[in-house]
Amino acid sequence: MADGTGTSNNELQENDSPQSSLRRTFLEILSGVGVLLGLGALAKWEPSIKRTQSLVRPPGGQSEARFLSLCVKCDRCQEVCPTQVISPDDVRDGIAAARTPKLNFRQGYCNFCMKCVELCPTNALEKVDPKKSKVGVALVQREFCIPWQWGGCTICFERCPVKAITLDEAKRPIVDEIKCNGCGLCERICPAEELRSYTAGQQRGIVIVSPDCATSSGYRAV
Amino acid sequence: MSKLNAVRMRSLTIGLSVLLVLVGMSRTLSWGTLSAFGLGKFATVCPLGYLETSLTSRLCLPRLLAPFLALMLVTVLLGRVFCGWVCPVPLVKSWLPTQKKHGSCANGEPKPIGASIAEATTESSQPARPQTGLYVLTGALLSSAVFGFPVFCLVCPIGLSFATLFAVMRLFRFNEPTVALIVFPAIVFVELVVLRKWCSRLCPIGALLGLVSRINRSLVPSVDKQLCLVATEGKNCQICRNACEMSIDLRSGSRPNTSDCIKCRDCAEKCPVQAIRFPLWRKS
Repeated sequence: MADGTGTSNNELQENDSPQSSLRRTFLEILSGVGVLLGLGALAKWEPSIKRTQSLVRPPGGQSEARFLSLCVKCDRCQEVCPTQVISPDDVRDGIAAARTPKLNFRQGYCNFCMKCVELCPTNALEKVDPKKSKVGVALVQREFCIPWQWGGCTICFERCPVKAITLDEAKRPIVDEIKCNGCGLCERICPAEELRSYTAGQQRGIVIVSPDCATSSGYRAV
Repeated sequence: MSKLNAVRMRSLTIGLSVLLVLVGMSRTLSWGTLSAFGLGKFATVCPLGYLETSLTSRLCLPRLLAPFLALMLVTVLLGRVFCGWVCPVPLVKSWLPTQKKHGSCANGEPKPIGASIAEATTESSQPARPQTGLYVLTGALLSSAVFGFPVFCLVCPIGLSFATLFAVMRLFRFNEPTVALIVFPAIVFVELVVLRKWCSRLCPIGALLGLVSRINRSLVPSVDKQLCLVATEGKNCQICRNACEMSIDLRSGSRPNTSDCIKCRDCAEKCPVQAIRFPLWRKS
């Protein structure tokens, strides 16, 4: 594959005996096909593949296998998103998922405008009814949530667009996981990270997880 | 056409395609990158991307079939002009340190070596075609079919160049440094500098276009034998061959594989006797 001498192809081949040119061809086939197969295997079986199950995808991309099979990383969905919640996956999220779009609720929230779905050229984001679309589930992280630790903050309850959050008798937020569509406004506005920066660091009191993650881990907010 | 510098014109067209991508990044336009480019719902996908996603998803993707065929038709009519005039890789390559081509005409001077025209003929009497690009293409399609996602996209230098650009913009816009800023350019560097002959030997998109451009009969480079120094003066001039990005040997006595030609015109501009033309139709 790598031409070490810098000469043109013709000069190389003229010095080959039939056996060595056959061997060269065989090596070229092996490296060309082999490298690509190895790359595919590596991406498929690397340990972080489990992490991609936890990535929150734009509407229509919830079936992870189908989504990865069709996404060509064109970035059109990222460009068009009016709330700028769509971000490219980091390389550390997994090789196969690198550069594919995920929802980053530190930057925005999903208003289900469906522009990303409209623009996706390969239909990796399937057409779904915005009213029925569920990109994730909000989970209260009680160790970090302010009212669950002390009390006072009710901002997620006040701002939830689908009224999926209620307050219990101690004024602590509880998520109705059926009603929640994962829009992420709660995570976006949760002040726990800033108000508790001396202990909490990077965690917010409420986070969105992908629908797969919520059911498989058996995590329940109540 | 001979008065206009093809290198400058190519930089313009390639720069324009990059500019279109940059302009298209605004929310109202969202045109995309060379991976997939379009207006609103109508987009065309990279031809390799189209084949890979059709294989991985086992769907026909009818919306994309027409643009795919249109791209193939352009390649039949004009040859691999995408490679020479749209793809940013040759431009990026020219910025990177790559090994200079050796040859008796490294300084651009045709030197008579005492070799007769006979020797020049035997040297190139067995033009062997670099097929590695086709193997990479096969590997990409096979791997995608087996593992269920478009594999080549992971290392495509076109995709990674734009991804690096996007990552830099995100760094400034959202204060978001990522390891991608190192990994992506590193991969492109390995492909273009360490492996070197990307365009001519490795690129599967080029190989795909090359399959189709075998039918191409227009704008095929041809040498005027009454001007070529090899034919008229028996000199072992290798200027066009050394200038060619695709290692095509147009000199008298050889049977060049012009289906690889990316129409960059480097050969025509470097030829000391202006012997190379790109006629509108090749007479066989």
